[in-house]
Amino acid sequence: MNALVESLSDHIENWGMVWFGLIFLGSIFNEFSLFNALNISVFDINLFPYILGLIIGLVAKYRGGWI
Amino acid sequence: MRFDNSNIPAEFSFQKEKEVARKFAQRFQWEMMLIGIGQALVWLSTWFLVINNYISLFVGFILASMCACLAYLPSHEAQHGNYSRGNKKKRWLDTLIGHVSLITLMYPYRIMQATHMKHHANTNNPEKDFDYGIVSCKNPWEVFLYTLQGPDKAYKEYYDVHKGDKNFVNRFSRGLLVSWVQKFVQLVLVVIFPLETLFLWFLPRKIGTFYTALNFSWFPHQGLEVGRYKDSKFYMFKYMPRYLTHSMQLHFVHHLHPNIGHHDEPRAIEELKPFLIARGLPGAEEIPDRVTYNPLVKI
Repeated sequence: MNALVESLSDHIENWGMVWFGLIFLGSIFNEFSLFNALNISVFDINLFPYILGLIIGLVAKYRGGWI
Repeated sequence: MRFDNSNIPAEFSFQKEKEVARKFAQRFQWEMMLIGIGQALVWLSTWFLVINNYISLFVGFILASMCACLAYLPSHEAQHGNYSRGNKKKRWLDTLIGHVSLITLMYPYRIMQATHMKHHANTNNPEKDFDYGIVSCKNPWEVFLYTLQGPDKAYKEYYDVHKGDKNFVNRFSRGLLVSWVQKFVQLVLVVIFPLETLFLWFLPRKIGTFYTALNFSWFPHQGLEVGRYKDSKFYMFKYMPRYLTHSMQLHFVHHLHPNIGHHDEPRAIEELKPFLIARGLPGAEEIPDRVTYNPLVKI
């Protein structure tokens, strides 16, 4: 149990920003048609807003902060 | 002892100060419970009302932001055990209000409790005070940027400093699990209700966190040194009544006597004023004789 919590903790610490970017920012961007300019659809889901969110999350991870 | 008792007349001794303070640390704080549970219920209601189009997202955002600004203080009283007041049978009240009130701000109660106790024990100490990141900001804009970024990085550094304290680690670890659940719930909600999650939770939480950091940490402690009677100050705003800042102009008394109920602080300060002046508390000379129902506006 401790090992699971530990590995989960490490994962969130290292990749939390990326997941936040992909899921949170991606979902928000997806709501605004402005970000749907580039249509890369898979199963009727436009991937562009999520890719944008993922990129922002990755940048934040490697910069060490959002701002 | 962290403070100097020499040159303090016997009539203003620490023992006598404690006796005065104790009188205001007895009452059951029903109004604070009402605020804590009430704001959480209003916040939850905004989701129902917005999703079902009873109110607009904008109105929901305003309501949720107000709730977020009201969310911390009731939990803060719980962190100090100010609902149970040492009665083990009432301790569930501290736990209930502590957890429920913080839902709006999406902070885990146990982490807030653990870090707040360390804040009290090490106020303004750059190496040990969890709030020092806020206190060291030069102006409110820096506080805004700090709160926008989130406390995770600073908390990790300070956690390492205090990890030798088992009680602290235990509370922090329990809070961490709650934090993950909260983050997971928010990520699920944002997929289903993207704009609602943004305007009813994410942004109000940021606004509430900034409001809390500014009023609870920055204004009362900024620019001050370490030590009892030295780390918190009395101050007044121009044109801004204390009712809009959770009366944090009086936060110093909470640092001296954390068990005084929040709404009893004005009366306590009126009686404690001579003690505070004798001790040289920053701003003590400016404390008006009457604080109760005084908006403390400097015109």
